[in-house]
Formats: sequence, structure tokens, C-alpha cells
Amino acid sequence: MTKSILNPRGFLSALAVGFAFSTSPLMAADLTVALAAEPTSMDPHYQNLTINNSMATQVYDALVLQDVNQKLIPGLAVSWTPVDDRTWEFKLRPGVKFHNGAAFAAEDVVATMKRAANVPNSPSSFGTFIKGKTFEVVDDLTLRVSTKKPYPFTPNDMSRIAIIDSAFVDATTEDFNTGKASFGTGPFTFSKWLPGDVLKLTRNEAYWGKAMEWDSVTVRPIGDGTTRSAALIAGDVDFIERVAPSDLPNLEKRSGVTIFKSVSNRLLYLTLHMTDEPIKPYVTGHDGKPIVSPFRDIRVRQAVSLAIHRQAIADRVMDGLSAPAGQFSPKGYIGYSANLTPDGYDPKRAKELLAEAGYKDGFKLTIHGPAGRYSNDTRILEAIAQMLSRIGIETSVETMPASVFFKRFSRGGPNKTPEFTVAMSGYANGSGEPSHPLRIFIHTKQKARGYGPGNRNGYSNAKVDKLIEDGRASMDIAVGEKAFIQATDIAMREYALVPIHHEIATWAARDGITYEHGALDSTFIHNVRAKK
Amino acid sequence: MFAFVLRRGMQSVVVLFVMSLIVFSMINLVGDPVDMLVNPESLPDEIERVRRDFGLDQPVYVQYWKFLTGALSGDLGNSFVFGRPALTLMAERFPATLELAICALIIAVTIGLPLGVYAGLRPDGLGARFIMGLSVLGISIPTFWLGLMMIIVFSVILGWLPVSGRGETAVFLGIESSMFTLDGLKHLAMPATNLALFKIAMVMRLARAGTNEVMAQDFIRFARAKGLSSRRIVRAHLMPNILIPIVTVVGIEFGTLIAFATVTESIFAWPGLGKLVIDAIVNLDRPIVVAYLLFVVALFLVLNLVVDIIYAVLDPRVRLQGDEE
Amino acid sequence: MIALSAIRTRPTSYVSGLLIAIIAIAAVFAPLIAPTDPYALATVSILDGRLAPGGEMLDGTIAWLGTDGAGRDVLSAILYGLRTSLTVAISSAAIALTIGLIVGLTAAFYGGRLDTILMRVVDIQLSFPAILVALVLLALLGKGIDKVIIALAIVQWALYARTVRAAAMVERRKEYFEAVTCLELSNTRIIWRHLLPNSVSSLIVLATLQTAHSISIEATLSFLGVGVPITEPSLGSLIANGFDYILSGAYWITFFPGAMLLATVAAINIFGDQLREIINPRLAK
Repeated sequence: MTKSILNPRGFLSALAVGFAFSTSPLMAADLTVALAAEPTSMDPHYQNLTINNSMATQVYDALVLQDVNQKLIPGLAVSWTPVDDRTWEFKLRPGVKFHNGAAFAAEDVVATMKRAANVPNSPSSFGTFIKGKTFEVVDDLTLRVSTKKPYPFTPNDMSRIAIIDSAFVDATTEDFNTGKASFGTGPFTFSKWLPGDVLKLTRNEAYWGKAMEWDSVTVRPIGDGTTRSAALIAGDVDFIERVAPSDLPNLEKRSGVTIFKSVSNRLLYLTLHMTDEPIKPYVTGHDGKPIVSPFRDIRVRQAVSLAIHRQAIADRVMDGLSAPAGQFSPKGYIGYSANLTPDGYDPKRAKELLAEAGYKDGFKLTIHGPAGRYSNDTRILEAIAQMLSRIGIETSVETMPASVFFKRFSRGGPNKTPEFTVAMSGYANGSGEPSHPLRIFIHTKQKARGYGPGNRNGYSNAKVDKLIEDGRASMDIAVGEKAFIQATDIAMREYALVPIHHEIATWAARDGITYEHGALDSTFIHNVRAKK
Repeated sequence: MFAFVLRRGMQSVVVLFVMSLIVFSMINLVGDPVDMLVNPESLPDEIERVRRDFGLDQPVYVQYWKFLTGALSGDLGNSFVFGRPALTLMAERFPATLELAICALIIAVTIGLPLGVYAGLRPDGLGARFIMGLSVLGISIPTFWLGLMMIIVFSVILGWLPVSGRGETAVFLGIESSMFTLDGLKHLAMPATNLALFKIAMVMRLARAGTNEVMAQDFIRFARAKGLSSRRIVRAHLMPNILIPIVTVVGIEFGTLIAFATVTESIFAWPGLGKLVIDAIVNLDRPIVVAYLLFVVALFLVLNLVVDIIYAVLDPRVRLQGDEE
Repeated sequence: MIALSAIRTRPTSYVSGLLIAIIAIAAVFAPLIAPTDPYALATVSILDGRLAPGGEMLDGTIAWLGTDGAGRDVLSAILYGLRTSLTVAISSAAIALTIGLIVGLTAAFYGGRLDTILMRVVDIQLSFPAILVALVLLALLGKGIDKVIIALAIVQWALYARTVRAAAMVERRKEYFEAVTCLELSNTRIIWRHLLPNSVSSLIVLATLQTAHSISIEATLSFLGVGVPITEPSLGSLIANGFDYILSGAYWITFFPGAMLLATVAAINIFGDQLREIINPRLAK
């Protein structure tokens, strides 16, 4: 045994043998899935949280659905069109029944919106998508949604709200957790939820869409990546999400396991503090005295970007599970600009740029980031610190739990200003609307108007702001998209932030299972299918 | 005895109060739960709305006062994340942790005690040396590393045991536990052993150290001289004497098994208290963290009291302080 | 002196003592012995990452024990990590022991209300999960070796206090103790000369266990994402980081630091056991 542990090949063959023993024929009727996280509630309106939302889509439908690349597709509404500058009309799907047998009609949508915006003690409300909209029932299968100002993204917003039977408009969150009220129109019906342990779903025989192959689905939360892979190898589960990058080569070599990969819309990026004030303690001269942020100068920001060897991070840190990025969106995804390419690795040019900006001898820097929030986050930070050190920026790394990181990241500094000089964070577009990252991270911070809540480094460009605002006011989505791409081009060339990579999302399944996947890294069980 | 218990009970209330104060103010120094809860895409007033709804906009002492008055009526607040009472959530998870801890304790004592006594009786024997070597190993391997190794060996390579989760449960004598089904025991085996390993080594070492010490004392020599059998010496003279430190440690360790099972539970995805609280710490679900800590403190206070009483029963030389003067 | 000669007559203690000496020297002189400086980020490169033992790094250095995920030479990282782990474990044990000794002896000697209060404080302390203490401290203070030491000392002191008190209480009840107090010796002298020596054997057992334990706790903290900074790994964080690679066959990142950890801890434990037998007068034949 000792020998085989010491010898990687022997170790792997031992694993392979172990696998052969544990393989048993796949029971097509039942599917067991292990996910990295677990929903905080089975109430689809309780918290706007990725895992809650993806679980909700199993039991409930929205008016508009998103495909795996977040393109809008018909759901409980078969079509939607703007009738004027401020009003959208939705034609609803006829003949749909809730799991309890009640028929679906426009009144259910109105009731749902009333409930979803006002769930007591919601830790993150869906009101964001509902407030400011008026819902008008034209007839049982026609609904009009109007806003005070022209707003092109009403269909996107409607794709976020799971529709419930109007009989349960006053149901509590507990009623949804226990199953008393959890009747949707989705592909599966809710059977049982034991928090921390298991979620059981059963096939909806009366589903309006394509019927599921699985009689029942068991969903287990397994937080640890290696344990998750081991559960698949041992045959405890049929399907897992988020294969740990370091387990991937082993799983790929294995017979009996299929891996699914796609470039996700989850971007990892650095923000560089780019205003004169306040002077922060995390960037100092070699004497240790704090200096004004060198990143005010676009040349220094560019130097940082050129110093980062994105391909090496992808190959060595991520085991191939990342794609170098030069903007928010991956190729083929909404808002992608063909004019931008990821910066290449050019340490020589980076050093020149530093010298031109007056930092020939570099400076000292502490970079911050969360630990355990993103795939390999601390290792990426470490690699970046190595790379910056090589161009003369003497870098140290400080990581912390996400709960601590985000507070300091947003308002840990004096007067509740963002604390860090350089920090790494991540972003994934959950809404599927292209102006989303621009509104949050790029637009000048204007709290009252909802612009720039994630703009932590003080980036501000009036031209970019105008493009974003104009685009968001146009009911013609094509016009808007053009403006957003233009804004993206300017902001990225000015290094409003430094993109590092898009994570490549992974899933693994036992043979005989296929998975339809795209830019979304969350898992949708209705896309897990038996191979024909 | 009664006066002693009463007095300790009163002290315990004071301790719980002080603890709640410390924990509440400490947890309020760390991070901001709202950052972890509110989706960044939300409208700007959402953060303020959540803060208001959860009472986080109030000064800490006001929040504490609310908590305290709630606590006195048995309400330790609602989880931020789950929106359900912290106590209910803990009650749901407690049986899983309890069965894990009980199994670990049983494993630790049944393996550790005989081996330790054996090693202590024949300190220079080959067996003793081997046992002590094992105990050194048991103490030296980090729990999480061993847990992961066990998964690789027993689940991945050998395929004998399930990787994670709790197995089927069954009801026996009114108690629902996974200890009563084969599937449940299979699921229990690895996490319980993993949790027990450090305790096995600890019990082993304590038993051996105690045995060594007692066997060298005069009364054992007298007993030997009187011609008592080894078995009788062990049972009548050795055991009562070495049990004192072992009972103390095992008593406290039972508390730590429950309180510190966090790592084992997160590796094996065991749906117990430890996992609940680790998640709560990560997500800054303050009510759960506070409720959990107070529960742990209460548990320890009770265990310590029980240990002290057993102490007094086993060793009459140690009188309970409450009875003094 | 008696202890020294006793060590010479016991081969096990001799060997383990020698091993500790070698490990200590290796740790102290790590910067001189190690082939590379694993903490100098400008010279460590991820392009050297996960080289198998004996592989050649970009700058031509041979990595005899391979390299880790970040491209650090594992041998150098072990030597430096050993330094960190030992510093953390020994400093925290020393601080915890000092506090525990003072509290435990005070409680046992004075008894009464002071004893009650001190022991309740100990109870409170013992019921704090180590992970939370560490998390709170690291959130308040930031990451770093000094913070880990403080956290571990706070986690451990109560255990020492309880043990010292328990041992001293038993001594206090013994007949000879009454004789000692009758002699009207000063309090310090009684505590120092009579209560303390009798607590020593249990303290040594505990201290060895705890030194080993604190290395493990430190590793666990790293496993949970708090602990020492990632760019300056301890043995514990080397093991924790390396484990992620074991399924893909890069066993050396976690195996060698693990072996070093086991050797160190085992040596300390064995030596502690031997020392205990030597010091404990009742066991000396």
C-alpha cells in the first residue's frame, strides 16, 4: 500500500480498481445529485440567492425563462412585446396547471408579485425586480406590465420571479419549506426537504414542457470538493457540480465518468484604487511610508495587467479551468465586445510602463481577497503576488473569510469608504441583462440613483456614464447593446478594473447521463438527462 | 450536596449571562451580515431594508437588550439566513451530532482504556511500546487530514463505506437515530472513528500514565504482598484510582466532541450542529452563532458539574466546595 | 544534572532528544540550509508548480522533494514551515502554560471564592470553540503568525489551569501538605516548592499533547482558510494545500510535510513521556 501511495501511477490504478468494484448499473429511474451548496429555503421568494433560484426553477416556472446562456425563452408566457415606451404585454401559456391541480392564469402572476416583493424577514428581497412596476390583467391569458420610465429589461426582471398559485399568496416561508404551499408548475414536484441533509423531488407528470426521465431526484449538499468527487467515484451519487480543479485530471482519466465543461460568466478581477484621496496604508514606498495610490496613473494599471500571466494561472493554478478574460462577458455571451482581447503577458513592457510613470524602483503593496469564496481564490492571489513582485512591485497577500472581506471591501476604510488599495473579487451576471455589470461596477458611484454600488475604486468617466444611462433608457434592445459595448470598450481600455479570467464551470456524471450547460455555473437539474 | 448543586446552578446563570454579553459584543465586531445576505444586484435601499428588518440599524446595546428579553422567554432569535428560530434549527441538527459524539466516545473508551491499562501494566513490553507508538501517531495526525485519507482509502479505493451524509434513520425506544440501521451505521463509521481517533489516543495515554503511577505506589505493593491476584488488583485498586483523571477528561471531552465536531462534520457533510455553526460563521448568521455558543457553554457547565460530582463519589478525599466551611 | 545522566541511560529518550535537536537546528538555521527561499515571491514561480521529486526548476535548482502548487521547493518550504509551526506551537504553549500555571496554582492554593471564580472563567474559556476564537481574533487583528499564537494560547490556557489545579488539589488534601503549611513557610515557597513540583508530571503529559495538538489546530485553521498567510506556509498549511492535489497524484506536496510533522510531533511526544518518567520521583526506582 505504501508503495502505491508513493507512486502516483500505482495510486491511480488503485483508485481505478476501487472504482471497478463500486460500479453498479445506473438506476435510470432515480437520480442522486450532489451540489456544493444548499438552498436557505424552499420558499422561491425568500432570498435572491443563486442556489435558491436554481432550485426554485425545478419546482416553479417564471413568466420568462433563461436558457443556459441566459437568453430569454418562453416560460409561462409564450410571448412578450412592448406596446409603448413604458409598457410590456405578456401573452400567457394556456392550459398550464399547478401541482395542486389549480389552473394557471394572469391573476396568479399578480398575486405572486404581491407576495414576492414583501416576504417578511427576507435577507435579500425580490422587490428589486418588482418595485416600480404596475401589473394589469387584460384577460386570463394577457398581462400588461408598465413602468414609470422607459425600461427595456422588464422581461429580464420577470424571468427572476417564480410564479405561485394565488391561493398561497399569504403562505409563510415555513409553509413552503414543509411542502404545504410548494405547488409550482415546474418539471418536478416538491417531496421533502431536510435542511443540511437532503432534498427530494418527484417528476411532475403533467408538466407543460418536455417530461423528465427521472421518477425522483435526491439532492444532497456536499460542501467539500474532494469529498464531492469521491462521492461520485464511490457511486454514492450520479451527478456532481463544481469538480475541484485538482481532482479534474484524475476524473478525466477515469472510465465510467463523463465531465462537462463550459466557460462561465463568472469573472475574477482586480480593482485598483485610482483616486488621490484617501491615502491607504496598503501601498507604501520601500521605506514603509504610505504613498498616494500609484494606480491613479493608467500606465501603472496597465503595467499590472501586463504583469499578470493569465495563461499560466489557467494552466498551473486552475488546471485548465479558467479562460483569460479582458472584459465582463465571455465570448458568445450577452454584452461581449469583439473589440477587446485579454492582455498578454509582457513583463518587460510592464516594467517600462512603471518606469515611465515614475516608479522605476517599484513600491510595496498588499493585495486583499477572500478565502474560499471563488475557485482557488487564495492561490490566484498568491500567483498574482509572485507576478507583481517580478516587475518590482513588492507584493504581499492578505486573505480573509468572505464575511470579513466584503465588509472591509465595501466600507472598511475611513468614513465607511472602501478599504483596500488592490483587491480581488468575482462577479457573475445573474440577471441576463447586458447593462448590469456596467451599472454596478463601472458607472460613477451615485447611490441614490442605484448607480455604481460596486464601484469601489473611484473610477469615473462622464462619457461612459452617459452611454450606460442612454442605453438603459432605450426600449430598442439593439440600440442599448451597442451603447453598452461602447461603454465596455472605453472602461476596459482605461482599466476601470483588471479582468483576470472567467472560471470554467464543471460538472461530472456517471456514464449514461448528459448535461446541457452554458455560461451559467449554477446547476439546473432539469438539464440532467439520461443518454439515449 | 443539594446546596452545592444549587449554588453551582446560580453561578451557571451568571456565567451564561456574562457569556452572552461577551459573545454578543464579539460577534458584532466581525464583518457585516448584510453583505453576505443581500444580492449585490439589489436596489440601493435593499441593504437598509434588511438592516432595519433584522434590527441591525439599532445600537449594539439595544440589540442585546432585545436578545436578552427574548432569551428570558426562551426565544434566541431568528436565523438571518433561514428565517427560522435558531433554537428550532439547532434542535433539528442536534440528534445527528449527539449520535456522532456518543459513537465516538464509545469507540474512544472501549479501545483506549484497555489498551492504555495494558500498556501501563507492562510498560517495557513490546506490546506496550507498539500501543504507545500508535497513540503518538493518533495524536499527531491532524483530524481533517485523516478524514480525507479515510475517504480515499475506505470509499474511493476499497469502496466499503459511503463518503458522506447521514444514513437512514430508524426509531428505537422512541429515539430516532441512524445508529439503528445498517445503512446508518455504515455512514457513521468513518466520521465517528475520525472524531474518536484523537480521543482514543488521549484516553490511552491517560490510562497508561495513571496505571504507571498507581502501580508504583505503596498500597499496590502491599496488595501484591498480601497475595491478591493481578485481576483483583486491577479491578479493586487500580481502576478507581486511574478513573478520576480519565472521567474528568472524558467528561470534558464529550463536550468538546459535540462542540468541536465542526471539522469532521464539514468533511463528511454530516448534517449536525457543527456544520450548521460553521456555515453560520461563514455567513455571519449571528443569531445561530450566539445561540450555539450559549448552548455549548450551558452544556459545559452541566458536564463540569456532573464531573465534579462523580469526582466526589470516586474520591472521597476531594470534597465538593459547596460543602466547605 | 541527575536528569541529564538519566537521559543517557535511556536510549529512547536519547534518540528522540537527538531527533528534536536536529529538527530544532534545521528549523533555526533554515535560511542557511534551504536551497531556496520559499517566502521570496519574486523568485518563486507558479511555472515551477507541482514538479515531481528530483525535478529541475526554471532557475536550475533541483527540487529534491518536488515543488508545491505555487512552485515552492517543498524541501525549503518544509524547513521554513517547520520554523513557523514550531514557533507557533512552542510560543502558544509557553504562553498558555504560564497563564494556566498561575491561574491553576492560585486557585488551588487560595481556594474558596477566588477558586470558584477562576474555575468558572476556565469553564467559559473551555467552552469557546477554537475556530470561533481564531476567526474573531483574525477578523479583528488580521492574518499572521503572531495572531495565530495569541489565538492558540487563548484556546489552550484553561486546559493547563484546570490540570494544574486538579493535581494541586489532590496534593493539598494529602497529609504532608498540612505539615508543610504548619511550618509557616511563605505562600510563594509553598506554591513553588510543594504544589508546583507535584503538578509537573501531569503538566508535562499535557504540554506534550498540547504542543502536538496546537500544530494540528494550526493546520486545521489553515484548512478552514484562516491561520498563517498563504505566502508563508507552515507545515500545517503545506499539508492542507497539498491535499487538494493528492487525487491527481501529486502526493509529495502533502506527504513530505506530513511525514515531517509526524516525525516532529512524535519525537516531542516520546521525549516528553521519557522526561516525565525521569522527573516523576515516584517512578524513579
